[in-house]
Amino acid sequence: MLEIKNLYVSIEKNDILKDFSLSIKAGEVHALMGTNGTGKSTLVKSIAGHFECNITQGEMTYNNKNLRELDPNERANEGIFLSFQNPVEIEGVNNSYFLKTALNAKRVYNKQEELDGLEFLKELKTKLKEYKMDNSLLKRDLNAGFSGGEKKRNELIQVMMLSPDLILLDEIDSGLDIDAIKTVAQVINSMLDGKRSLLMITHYDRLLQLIKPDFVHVLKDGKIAQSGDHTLAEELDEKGFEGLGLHNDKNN
Amino acid sequence: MTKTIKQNNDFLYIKDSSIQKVLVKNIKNKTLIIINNLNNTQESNIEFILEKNARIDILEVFLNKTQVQGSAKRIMTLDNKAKLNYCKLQVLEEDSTLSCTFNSDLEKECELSMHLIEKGSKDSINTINNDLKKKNIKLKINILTKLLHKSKVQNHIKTIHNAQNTYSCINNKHILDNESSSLFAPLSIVNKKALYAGAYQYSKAILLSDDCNIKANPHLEILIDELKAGHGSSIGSIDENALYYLQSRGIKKETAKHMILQAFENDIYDNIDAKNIQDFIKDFSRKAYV
Repeated sequence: MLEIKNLYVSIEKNDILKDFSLSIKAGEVHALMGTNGTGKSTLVKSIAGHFECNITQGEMTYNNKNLRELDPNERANEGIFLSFQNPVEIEGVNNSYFLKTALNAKRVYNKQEELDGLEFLKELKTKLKEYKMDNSLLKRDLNAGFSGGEKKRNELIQVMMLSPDLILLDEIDSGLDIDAIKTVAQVINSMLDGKRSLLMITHYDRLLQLIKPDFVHVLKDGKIAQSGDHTLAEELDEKGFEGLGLHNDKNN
Repeated sequence: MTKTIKQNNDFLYIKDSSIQKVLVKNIKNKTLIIINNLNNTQESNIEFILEKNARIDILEVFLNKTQVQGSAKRIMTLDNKAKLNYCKLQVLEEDSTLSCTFNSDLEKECELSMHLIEKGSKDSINTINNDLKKKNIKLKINILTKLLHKSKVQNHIKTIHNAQNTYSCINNKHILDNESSSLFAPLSIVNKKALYAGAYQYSKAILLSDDCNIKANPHLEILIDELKAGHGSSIGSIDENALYYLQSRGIKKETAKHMILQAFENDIYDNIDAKNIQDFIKDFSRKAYV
């Protein structure tokens, strides 16, 4: 599904990812860990086409398409969804209107007919019921005045509605209480159908206890220093990055 | 010529450019729409007179068929507790000039809300003068300046607080593209008689090109201590993070830009607080009238 080879990414002339490679197949769950500044967020932003990320070298293909040739909206419509660490607030844009616009943009991209207002509301109601979420956030402006937990919930609603094939979660558990993390895990686990893939960034083992990764990768100095299964995360939780010799070298 | 509004019609259209006075009696919650189809060099003067307790929403549309150098004077005369919700929609084609002067004579406890929506035109100047000399007067002025090409708009707004508990809030939002330019020059004076007054000025601008420019000069002169006042001004381009967020959800860049700009404008329309006028503006098409 996703193939990254020898990727070099810089942000504001600082080299962040250096010779980074990763392969994610359909249905796989990957976790990405590492100390602050190792390039975890830069990786997922690069996949999603963030304007800050300057890719100087390397390849990224998604379902055999060259990602570097696709605009951010095209990558999203191809099935890539990035859940942001700090979703931006856009006052004046109604959340429900935004979601309908995004859903219809994907439908048009995939040569399907757009949903009208009633059809959209019906689809929304069905999905919210399926995942046991309420619609209170949808009456408000997009992320405007949302608490941290509400912003993350809103990201989840978007995941549910847009049904991406590759979900990128950038520290979705940060700032959430235990119950909220369980809700996140419930929704994500219910979407993992063996075809959908997940790449989640987290600092803590708690999320990984609830969403079991097939692979855990630890970033160091801009590339993957060690990979393993979920036991690697448990070991990290016990010994820390320094204990496993996986802390970032500040001189690089 | 004087037009007296006292029917129960929800809408009243006036296309007669000889109107000089509109007298509103015993009316509450009605809408008057005036279409000014300007020709060549045209001067238009109208006084809106609202008797005690009268309430009305007025939308004036200014448009043109040919090149125009026009001027318009408007006087708002409001008796005790009268409420006027006045909206000016200007959709002139380029190479036209319109100079509008607004003065008022306001009695105590009346409310005057003015909404100016400026689109197009080569040169446009609005001069708004309000002397709040009676108690408990509320004045709100909302302006949307949305310009393309080489259009220029100037808004000079002078508000003098001369009585207790008077309130003024002036809000100008600008969306400028190409080589357009906008001047926002409010002057609010709070004199010693104006205890517990409230005086506010806000300006927000989005610049869509490197060649457009804006001058925002908020100016408050405060001569007492017991009041509330504030002013703020911000100028920037479209928030890149907001634009990217929408694109990351599959929305094309141009559509995302349009959504953000529409959101920026919306609170000016929301502030009009008259659904009939909001709907009229939303559905308005120049072609239907020119």
